[in-house]
Amino acid sequence: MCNSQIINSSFGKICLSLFLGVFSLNSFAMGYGSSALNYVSADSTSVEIYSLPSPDEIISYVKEGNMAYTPAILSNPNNISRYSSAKDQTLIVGVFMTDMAYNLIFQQPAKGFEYMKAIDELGQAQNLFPYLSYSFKDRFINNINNMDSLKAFSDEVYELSMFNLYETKRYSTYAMITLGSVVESLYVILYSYNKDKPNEALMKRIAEQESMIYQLEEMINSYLDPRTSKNLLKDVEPLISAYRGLVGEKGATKVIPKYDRIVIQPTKELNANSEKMNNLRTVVVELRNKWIKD
Amino acid sequence: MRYMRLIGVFLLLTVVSFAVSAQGCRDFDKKCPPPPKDYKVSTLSKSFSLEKRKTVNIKLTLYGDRIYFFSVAGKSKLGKIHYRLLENLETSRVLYDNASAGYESSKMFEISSAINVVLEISAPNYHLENARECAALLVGYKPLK
Repeated sequence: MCNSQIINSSFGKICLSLFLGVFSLNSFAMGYGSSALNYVSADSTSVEIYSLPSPDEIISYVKEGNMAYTPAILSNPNNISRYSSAKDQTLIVGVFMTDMAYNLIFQQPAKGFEYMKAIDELGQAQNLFPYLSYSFKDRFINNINNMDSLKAFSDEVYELSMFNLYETKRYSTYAMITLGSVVESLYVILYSYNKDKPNEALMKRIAEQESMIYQLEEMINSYLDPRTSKNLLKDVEPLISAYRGLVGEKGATKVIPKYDRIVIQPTKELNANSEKMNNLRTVVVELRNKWIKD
Repeated sequence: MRYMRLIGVFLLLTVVSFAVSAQGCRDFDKKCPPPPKDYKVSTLSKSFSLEKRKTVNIKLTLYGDRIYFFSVAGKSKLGKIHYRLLENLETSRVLYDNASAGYESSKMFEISSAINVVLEISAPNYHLENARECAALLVGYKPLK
């Protein structure tokens, strides 16, 4: 089709230039251009990728400390029309991803499906899953009796949205979804902590989320423009403050080679107690209430 | 008519190039050596592109009382994949360097309590200018007990 006669004509040259121009723009938009996340020196480039645990991994980790199922505390997936701005929609997608994972961890596929539908609808509105070759809803229904497949699918939805957003350099959306999912995860795990029956194992797992909170703070600073990150960090600051001091560092991390593995021992001291857990829960509820429109 | 067809091809090529570049290295982590069967694959796994003189720093949160399995892979053109586990980027304290073990592609790490680390990945022997190739990190985990 593109023979030399056409290419040599004026129109052909314009066409070719246009194609090359659009291709280079594509390449730029899709990750082959410069970026705020790329640190370039004279002879090298360094790229940073933040990789935080998915909602399934956060909740499963805490569930190992004996966590109860309390569906009444979850968000409502049936009123998504109340979330109109891009910020509201991306934050709530993160919240819904957590609530879907939570229901699947506790083997409640019907409830999980309600969140799946909401994520699907909002995902289309925000173009979170471009180039998808299958329907989320069909995939969910086809695996409704296989909990392992559904849990893997829940992780896949999270992973797919993160991959697409990173590849298309939509870092602020990436950060917003992560923030929504992390705060909702903290919310559900903190509600499972009963102050009248202190559970050391559960408290330790909740306190250990401190590492993830610091990573999240750093990600917001790196991925969002200064104005947006300043506004968002103003909201998130009470959460960061509540976590400060829950876990203290006593010294340098130890590294010990052992058989087929390397043992890494951070020398940390747990300073959490029921009062601090309650304060943390109050802070998380207040932050979540700013986003949830139930 | 001929020009219309040419414009059609131009638009098609544009859409295809956009889609292909967006898909990039998706699912390349599936090419990494898999973890033992009792490990669960983590969403911390990441696929990305490497190029000459480019280092990818993956900032990870690892939980305590777990054994993590890390493995890396890259397109054959990249040659050896070098990775180092760093405590953080500020001090760059090296917790593990696969160069000290003949650039082995997988390793297990036992973590006693939650920690943030940086996995720094590069392809030191890759010399092609302005060309990117896919690489990936696969993370698996299981409870320590």
